[in-house]
Amino acid sequence: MLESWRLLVALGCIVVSIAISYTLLGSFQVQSGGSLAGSSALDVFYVGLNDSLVVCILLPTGALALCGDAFTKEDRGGFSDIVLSRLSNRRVWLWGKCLSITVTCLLYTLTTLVLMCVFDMVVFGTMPSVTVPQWLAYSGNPDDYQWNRYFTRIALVPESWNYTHLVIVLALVEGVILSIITITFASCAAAIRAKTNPTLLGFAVLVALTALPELFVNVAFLLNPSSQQRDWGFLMDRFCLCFYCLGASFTQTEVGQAAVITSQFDGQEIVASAATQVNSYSTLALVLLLLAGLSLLALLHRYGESGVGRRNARVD
Amino acid sequence: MPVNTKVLKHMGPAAEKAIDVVDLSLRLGGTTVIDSGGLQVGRGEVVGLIGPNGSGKTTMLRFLAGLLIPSSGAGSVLGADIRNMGSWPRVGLLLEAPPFIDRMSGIENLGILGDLGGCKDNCVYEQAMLTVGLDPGNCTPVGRYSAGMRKRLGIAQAIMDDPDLVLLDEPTNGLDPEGVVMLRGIVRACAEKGETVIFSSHMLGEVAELCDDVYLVHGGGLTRLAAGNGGAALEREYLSRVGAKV
Repeated sequence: MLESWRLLVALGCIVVSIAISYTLLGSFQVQSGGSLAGSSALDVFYVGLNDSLVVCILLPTGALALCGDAFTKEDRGGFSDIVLSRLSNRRVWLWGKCLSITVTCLLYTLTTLVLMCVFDMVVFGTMPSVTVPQWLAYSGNPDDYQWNRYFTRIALVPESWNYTHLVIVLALVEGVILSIITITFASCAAAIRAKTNPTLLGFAVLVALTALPELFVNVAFLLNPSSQQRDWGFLMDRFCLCFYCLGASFTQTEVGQAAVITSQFDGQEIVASAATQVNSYSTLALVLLLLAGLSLLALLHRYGESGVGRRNARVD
Repeated sequence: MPVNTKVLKHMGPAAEKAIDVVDLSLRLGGTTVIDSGGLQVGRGEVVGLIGPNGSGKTTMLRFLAGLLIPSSGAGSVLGADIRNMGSWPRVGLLLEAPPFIDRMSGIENLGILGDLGGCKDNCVYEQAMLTVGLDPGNCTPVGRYSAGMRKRLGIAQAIMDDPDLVLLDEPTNGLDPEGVVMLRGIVRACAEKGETVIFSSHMLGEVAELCDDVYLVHGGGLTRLAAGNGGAALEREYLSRVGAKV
């Protein structure tokens, strides 16, 4: 049975995520002249996935509240000792925990998708669509990709793609990302035998990791205003969809064409398009692999000497 | 290929001795708790572990439950090599403050824990509860149990499916006199069935009465004390060994 505080935090994170998504949708609407052509009920979730606050802090915090203390909870009072001394295969306990975290995170992301979609359908009467909304669509050729169409980063979708399938796949991928983040915090908390609840610990670390790169860029700008610092981080931005180009190849890091001066206006050159740096999907895979490796090391450190690899068998 | 004769020597006679361990070192969080200790226990024997608070009795029981890999040492516990990560004998473990799922009843807790070990027979859980003097039909959540009732349920959990090795950490703590008498009966019944019982306690009279052998855990070592001379003699030896001034 789920404790009420877990449910409250998890639902609270979804509610705040919905509010952020609608704020972004509102600003896009204003920038595009009052309406978003062909908008769909799936847009709320899709826009949420493009916001770093939602994907780097809110959803991971919700997932951590649901199952971040999966390892440490049973360490308290020695319940895990009793369980391990009874299980015929002790490894099942460790992998079972990892599997249950993964399933919980997948269900949490899918619940977020369904709640956002249903909310939009009920309140605004928008229906989900298979076709990509016009306001989000681009040709599909990364060379034509325009980064800041709405002054705020959002990953545009190739117009030929199936929008419903894309959003469902993204929800599943987000679930996997959440599960790896949650397992990392849960296993590290177990390894350092943290007394603090991993939800609080994780929240503090996530906020710090999200805020620090921005702080770094601001300080660098203050010290040297002419410097061209990347205005996003090196770890947390990998989890945010808006730093990628949908339709780009697995290792592609640059989209759009090289700068082309198309016209002159009042003595100034107008640049119509320019090559832009994007995160490649390979770096996301690398970050996830690194986190999975860190989790494995933390679990080995904590449980390697605890006989978790043993089997309990009756003596004949 | 070089052969570690020290290890081989202690793997052979596993059938004679339930526990035969030498040069045992146990580390916990970077601290050496047991250093070069030895423990020899026959099948069906009852052995007491005594020692000052924090001396390593619980760590020793966790090692015997296969929950702590020794940093060094050789030997076997019911045939299982202590350095091996393979099979470990089925143990019944009672912790000093037995942990349970507080919102569930006693029988439900036993059911869940029994299930983990492959025991799905409700009669086994009911019988275990009756053995420790608890009512299997009592639906009160364990969170509302007294310390003594929790301890009784912990004992029921440890003995319910006839483990090969019964490990009891401070089993008399929190038990009323009737419970202590019941515990004596349970320990003797386990030994009669051929189960090896090892328990830690500060109640030296109880230890002297019940145990075939007594080990003192003190200063990182395991010392075998003379058993069978009564509680007063054991107490004198204990106090002189730990250097206590009374």
